[in-house]
Amino acid sequence: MSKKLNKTFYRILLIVSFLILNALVLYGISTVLAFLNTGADRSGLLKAEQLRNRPYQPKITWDYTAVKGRSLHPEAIRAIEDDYLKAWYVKQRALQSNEEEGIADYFTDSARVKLRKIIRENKKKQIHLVSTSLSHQPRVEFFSENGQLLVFTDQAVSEYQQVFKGKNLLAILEDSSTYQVMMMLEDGFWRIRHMKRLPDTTKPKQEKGSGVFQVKNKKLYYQDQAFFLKGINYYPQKTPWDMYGDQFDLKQMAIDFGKIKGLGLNTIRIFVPYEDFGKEQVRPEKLDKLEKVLNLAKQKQLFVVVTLFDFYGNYAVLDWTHTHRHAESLLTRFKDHPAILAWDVKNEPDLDFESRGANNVKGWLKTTIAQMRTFAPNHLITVGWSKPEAAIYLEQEVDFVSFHYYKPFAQLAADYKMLNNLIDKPLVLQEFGMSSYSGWFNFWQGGKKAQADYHRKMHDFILQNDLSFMAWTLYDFDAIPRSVVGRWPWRKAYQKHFGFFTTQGKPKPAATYLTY
Amino acid sequence: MMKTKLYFHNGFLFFYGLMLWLLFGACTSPAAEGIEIHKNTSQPAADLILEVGTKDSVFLVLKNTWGTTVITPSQRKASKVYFSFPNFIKKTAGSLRYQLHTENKLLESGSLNIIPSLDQPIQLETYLGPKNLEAGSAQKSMLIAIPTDAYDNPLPNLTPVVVTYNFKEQIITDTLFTSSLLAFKTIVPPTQTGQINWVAACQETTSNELFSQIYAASPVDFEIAYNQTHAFADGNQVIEWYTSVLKDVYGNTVSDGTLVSFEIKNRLDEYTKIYASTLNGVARAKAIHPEEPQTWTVQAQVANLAKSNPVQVYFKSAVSEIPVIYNAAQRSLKVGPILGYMGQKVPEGTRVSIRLMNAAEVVFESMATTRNAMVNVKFPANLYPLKEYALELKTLGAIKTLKIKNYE
Repeated sequence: MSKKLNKTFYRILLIVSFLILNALVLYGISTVLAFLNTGADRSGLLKAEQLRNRPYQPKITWDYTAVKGRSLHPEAIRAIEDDYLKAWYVKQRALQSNEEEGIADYFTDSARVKLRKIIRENKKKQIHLVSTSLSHQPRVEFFSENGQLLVFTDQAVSEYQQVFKGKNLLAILEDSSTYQVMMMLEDGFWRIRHMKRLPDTTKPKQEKGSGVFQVKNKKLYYQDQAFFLKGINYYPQKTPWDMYGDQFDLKQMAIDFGKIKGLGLNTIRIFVPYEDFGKEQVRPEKLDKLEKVLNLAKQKQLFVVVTLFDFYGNYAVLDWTHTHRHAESLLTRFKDHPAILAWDVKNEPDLDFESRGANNVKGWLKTTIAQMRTFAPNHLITVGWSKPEAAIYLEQEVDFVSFHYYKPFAQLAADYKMLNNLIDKPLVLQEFGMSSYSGWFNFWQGGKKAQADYHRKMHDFILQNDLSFMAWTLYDFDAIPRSVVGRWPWRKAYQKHFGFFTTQGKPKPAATYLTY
Repeated sequence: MMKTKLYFHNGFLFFYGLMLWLLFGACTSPAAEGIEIHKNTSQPAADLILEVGTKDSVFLVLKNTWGTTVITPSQRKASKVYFSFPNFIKKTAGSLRYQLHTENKLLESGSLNIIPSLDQPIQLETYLGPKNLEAGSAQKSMLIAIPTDAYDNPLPNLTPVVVTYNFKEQIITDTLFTSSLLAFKTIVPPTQTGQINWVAACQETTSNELFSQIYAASPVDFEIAYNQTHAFADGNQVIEWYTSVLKDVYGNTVSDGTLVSFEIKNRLDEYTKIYASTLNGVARAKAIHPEEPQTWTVQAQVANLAKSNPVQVYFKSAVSEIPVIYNAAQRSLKVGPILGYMGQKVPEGTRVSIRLMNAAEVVFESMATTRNAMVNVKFPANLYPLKEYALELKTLGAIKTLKIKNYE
């Protein structure tokens, strides 16, 4: 009997091991084949891919109402615009790398000579330029009868340029200049033949809008009444950091917003993830969802601070124009939405200073704010700095200064005093809070009582200083995406318990101190 | 306290622009104090040199149309620092932006305007287009002249450019003034065909001769006629159609090579198209006579622009009788000699259609060709076992039917 069993066992073992061996061999072969199939696509030979999608999207507005010569059609303008912007792009790329790749397609021979001289000189001196243009307003002056020569004046080209020697940043040039440009159609490409920088023009100051929210004397005003911003950072309990996904649940939001209003708060802060919304080509369905949220807030009499560019982290100067198109889509759509209190350009951008370069981040914020002002002149703009020390940057650009505070409460008074003395604009404590996590990772310290204690002190401090605030956050969360705090379980565990309400929606002791 | 210095750079002169002097106070005074900038737009400078007095090491960031570069002082004397601009900066007209920096401080910024040089011979680029025009059309021809200085900088607005053009016996000179980097002259094409010769000149520089060609406009309706040696449908002779001289509305003969299509409609309402292009306004098309008597209706047209009158041609039958001898013993059929309208033998290869029928069923069908006006066919007994057949012969419009009887 046992002998027979043994035999069966060996048989099974043999067959199974044979099957496993085969599977492994097949897997190995397929991996090798898959590897051999990766790499350059054959269509890449034609270089048709190159620059097919617009790699560079500054705001460009054509005026071709008064053209001498042949009249211009929008189709012709599209082709010219495409090549003109690509000319700027390849020029900037060439000046950054000091290589001439691509410029032959967008500059005629004689223009190329001039560009080449500066590239060679800079290469010799190890100077390179990181630059972008942000807006163009070409006014076409002349179009030849045969449709192959065009002259226009590109007015008030807003440019940003970092000048490097090796790795040292020598200078930042920000200017608004006018160029007179002659382009020619040669073998299917519109190429720049002449380009002449005209004397600097002062950019017309963006007229300050007349929105319902205004800033006067370090205070926020709503319809000419002093406005005490009492708010909370909001994510739905079930879908934190994924508010506009497939599980978009307006009903639950209506309940949540009612709860927030019921606590006596008047504002929520929500986040618009950059990539999820489609980067430079914002997805209309996402905008529709955002509009529903804003309409709901309006209905529940809540104001909204909309934080843009969540999880954006590129900041490369040549990528800026894409982010501007993203902002344009959003801001032009909601420029008159009555629920919006302010646009928060980016959440905690100072955390990217180290990895992306403080100059890149600050330059991006500055230019983005300038662009945003043109799209939504009636709304306020702020930046959500991660700590009071960072909140001193860009004071001139923002309407009010937002900072986050997660340091121990004891240090708040001194930090606030410091900031209040330095800043001449309204201050908003845009995020603060404490996790009620109590467990293995902090040796069962903390807990709900400690959290409530913290918020009691914050409550008093806020009232004493008449400080506008937005607490973090409404709910405890079940799961935290890795992109938020990384993958370490102790961080995630900590982040899950910042809520005033439990995952079931029950108030925690701290909720007492959220009512004002 | 203020001193200015002018430097000549290695023997060759530059003709751009402006001079800028930055003069600091005494070397002990702080950098921000007492900076004065002098700009002189009226007088072309021999060289571009900046003079700066400071203790710290300084550099100058220069931005023009094509890019930005950084230069360091070429010379340092006591409290003064001299900058010499590189050639490619000096040679590019337009606004030049500068920033004067110390290691960690921006001291001064501003811009100067470099103007094109007018002292050296200028260069003139000319473009003419469209070069081919229709007489009297609305499409204009345009001559564009782009005068630049020796360093390829477009000259300022209102630079005079003289354009001369000649058509037939007329020579016209016109003085234009540049704006938007160029000067241009448009011409509405005359109603006569011919060539316009152009030349542009700016100061002492003249362009090459340029031509724009005026071609005839679209042709108007025309007539056709034909030539043929005889009117018999012999499938051999050639008929030739020709158009009247095709002209446009102004009486200009159309360009050689204008394509004319001749559409032939035969007795079965089938169309045949023959294309021919014009030479001196006349297009000629040829076709072989049909093999059957019929009437052709021919009309010529230039694609959707102009057409001719329809012309009818009648072709008579070329053969009246088909002689046939059938040898029942050898089962061989001898057709011919087939003779034409003058009793001549029909041409070699004339097609003869042969059909052998048994009651309603066709058992043999062939298209034979004549040799020496004859056609021979055999109907072997093993393939055609029956005794009686009906035979039908057709050639050049003539038809003959006969009964075949075999005796075996």
